[in-house]
Amino acid sequence: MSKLILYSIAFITGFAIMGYEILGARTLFPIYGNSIYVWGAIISVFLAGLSIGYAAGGRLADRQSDILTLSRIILIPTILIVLFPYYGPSLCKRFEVLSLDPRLGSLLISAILFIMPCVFMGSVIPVIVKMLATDNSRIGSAAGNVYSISTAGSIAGTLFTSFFLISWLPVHKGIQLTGLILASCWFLCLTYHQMNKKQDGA
Amino acid sequence: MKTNFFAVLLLTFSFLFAFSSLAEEKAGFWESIGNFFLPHAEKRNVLFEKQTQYFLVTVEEDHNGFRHMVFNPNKGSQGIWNPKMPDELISNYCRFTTIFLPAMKNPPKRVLFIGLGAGVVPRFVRKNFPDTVIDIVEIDGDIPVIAENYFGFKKDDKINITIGDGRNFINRNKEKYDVIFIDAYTSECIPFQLTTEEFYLKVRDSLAPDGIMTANVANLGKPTFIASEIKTARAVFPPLAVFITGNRSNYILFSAADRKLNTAELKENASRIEAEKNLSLKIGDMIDTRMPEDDIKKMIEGVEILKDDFAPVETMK
Repeated sequence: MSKLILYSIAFITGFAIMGYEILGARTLFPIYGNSIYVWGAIISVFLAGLSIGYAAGGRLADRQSDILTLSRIILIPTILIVLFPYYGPSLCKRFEVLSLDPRLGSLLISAILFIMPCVFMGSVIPVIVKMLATDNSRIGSAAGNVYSISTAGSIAGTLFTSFFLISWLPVHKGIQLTGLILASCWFLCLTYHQMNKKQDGA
Repeated sequence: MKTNFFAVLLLTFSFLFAFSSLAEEKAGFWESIGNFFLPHAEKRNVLFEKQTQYFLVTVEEDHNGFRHMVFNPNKGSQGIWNPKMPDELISNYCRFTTIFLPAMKNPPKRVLFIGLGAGVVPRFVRKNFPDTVIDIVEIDGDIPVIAENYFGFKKDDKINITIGDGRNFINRNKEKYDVIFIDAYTSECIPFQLTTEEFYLKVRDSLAPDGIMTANVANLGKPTFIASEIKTARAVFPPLAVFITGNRSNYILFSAADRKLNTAELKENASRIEAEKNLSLKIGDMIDTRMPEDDIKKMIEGVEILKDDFAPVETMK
């Protein structure tokens, strides 16, 4: 059961990453257009964030890997994404006035807006791997499962956002919904905590 | 172990090969079915083909000798040009665009095209107004080259081409234009950032006093989108006029920044300008297709104005 909760957190994080990426891209098109540059910039910024997050998360996991750490890591991107409508548009307006080259401009603004949540969402993965891999001979399958499930979450997030969410909700509301979905990880963390406390007690 | 691995590899490749050849055969089969049923699929001579950054562009010659610029196979033409009569406007949309002639108060000093296509309309503008500065913004860097090589589009020192997204261009623009031509939707892709209220506001900011904006909204069987688009443009340009091309293939939106375009006045100007410039376009007939105000009101009732924050153009019906 507690395994299932950790896998669900990996799934939801993957879901939120891609939902945020697609909706975030949509907030930049009105400034820099839907040219191939904007997509290139956003994808590379998301990957850079994840890359940093994986490495940092791995180091953190070796020091402490408990449910409290996990919930703290998730808290930051949740807040950043839920509050996006309050800082995203005003920052976009500022960039519009700057009138930079679309390549430089889209790279800069997506780095500012998107890299932090991605770093933290990326660092969730190694922490979960460490929590699951209690048995040394099973680290491979634990890591493999976590990546597989988080990527499945990303697929679900991509399809859900692009096929449905964009036609249902305004972009900024959609981003908030993605943030709220990520916030549901908190309940999972809480449940996990309660369950393990009971087990420890018994 | 090793032999097993190679056997699997070999098997995979042979499957892939078999499937790819099957797929090719199927395409041929469907193509022949298509040619049989679709009247427009007459055998066209493909003069040129290129996979650009954004589209698979082909230049096709039909049985009349007309050249078509086609984005992605079997879709409508983005531009048509007749090499034998290079100054003729052939496609309906291009002909209707000439309504800008009677709508203007003075000859244009500077005009902007958002979306180049085959470059037939810029050519028309240049022929009739040799001194006008023509700015063009086109997302695909290959299109101007193809337009020059196959569609008689000629660059000169008063034509400036910017490669990039139209929205980015208009956001950064500081010039004032006498006419802005918006034609940036292809049959499969409607860039949402060129449909919204915020976009039309930027367009209005870029118009000179008495400037004209015109937008081509192709009828792709999405009536809600067309109604929303008209409502959006009208929210920014209240005196918006809508003209409908034959067989309702395109809705051509026209508006001056703040003055109303009077139909009788337009027709009067049209016959004067046609005589002056020695044109045989029958602009008057096009002006007759103007949508009555009541029809527009009825059409846009209950649809939403498109905004940067909510413009689900991909899924609109």
